[in-house]
Amino acid sequence: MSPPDIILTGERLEIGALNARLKTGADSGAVSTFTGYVRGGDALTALELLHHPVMTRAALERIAGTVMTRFGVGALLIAHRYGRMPVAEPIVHIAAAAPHRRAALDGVSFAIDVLKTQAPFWKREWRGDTYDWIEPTPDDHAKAAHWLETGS
Amino acid sequence: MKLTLEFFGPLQDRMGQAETIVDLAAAPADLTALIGTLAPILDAGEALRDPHLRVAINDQICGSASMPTLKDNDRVAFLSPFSGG
Repeated sequence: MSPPDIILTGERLEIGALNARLKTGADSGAVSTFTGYVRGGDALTALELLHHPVMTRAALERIAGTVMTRFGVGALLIAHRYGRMPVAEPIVHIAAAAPHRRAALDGVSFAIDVLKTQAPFWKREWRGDTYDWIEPTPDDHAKAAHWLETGS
Repeated sequence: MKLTLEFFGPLQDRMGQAETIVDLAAAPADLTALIGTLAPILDAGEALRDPHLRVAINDQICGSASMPTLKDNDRVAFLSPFSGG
């Protein structure tokens, strides 16, 4: 098991390069990834992610550690953007390698569901010169609670 | 005692500032007392009573029953609900 690779950056995420960073090994029978993108529509011109200078990285490291021990994931990468992103640009990329598919798939699901409500990020949608804050939805809380409360 | 207050997320707009310094006569004993002290003395301070906010002392999240004893020059961050990913 290698330490998780946490990337918190203001630069555009290059998905191919991120996947190449994943430290797979001889026991990596499965690799699963998730990428979240800025979704267009409703006159959206950009999405902005704000983060905390200290606590955001610490939260990502904590979540990554939990994923690796709980699901038996051997290698894990979590990359998250901050700053302003145009439509169709990636916001977050998660990659997990494990001996079997279920651990890799569940590890990635857990990471994205929990990250949305437990890592200090704040999101606002820009339409021209004005913005609207995006608050977490009840569905976001329910998905995180599913992992955090049921233990399954 | 001097405290640096920091506001993150939508709360920053409600408070009209990212950071401010307050000087309190005594250290509030717990989170409820801290918010009860700050809300009346800050512009738009009532926004701090939102039960969905999280509070961090010197970058450590604390629960309502687990606030460390505040010291002079501590940083207290009020965090709007998170919305990453």
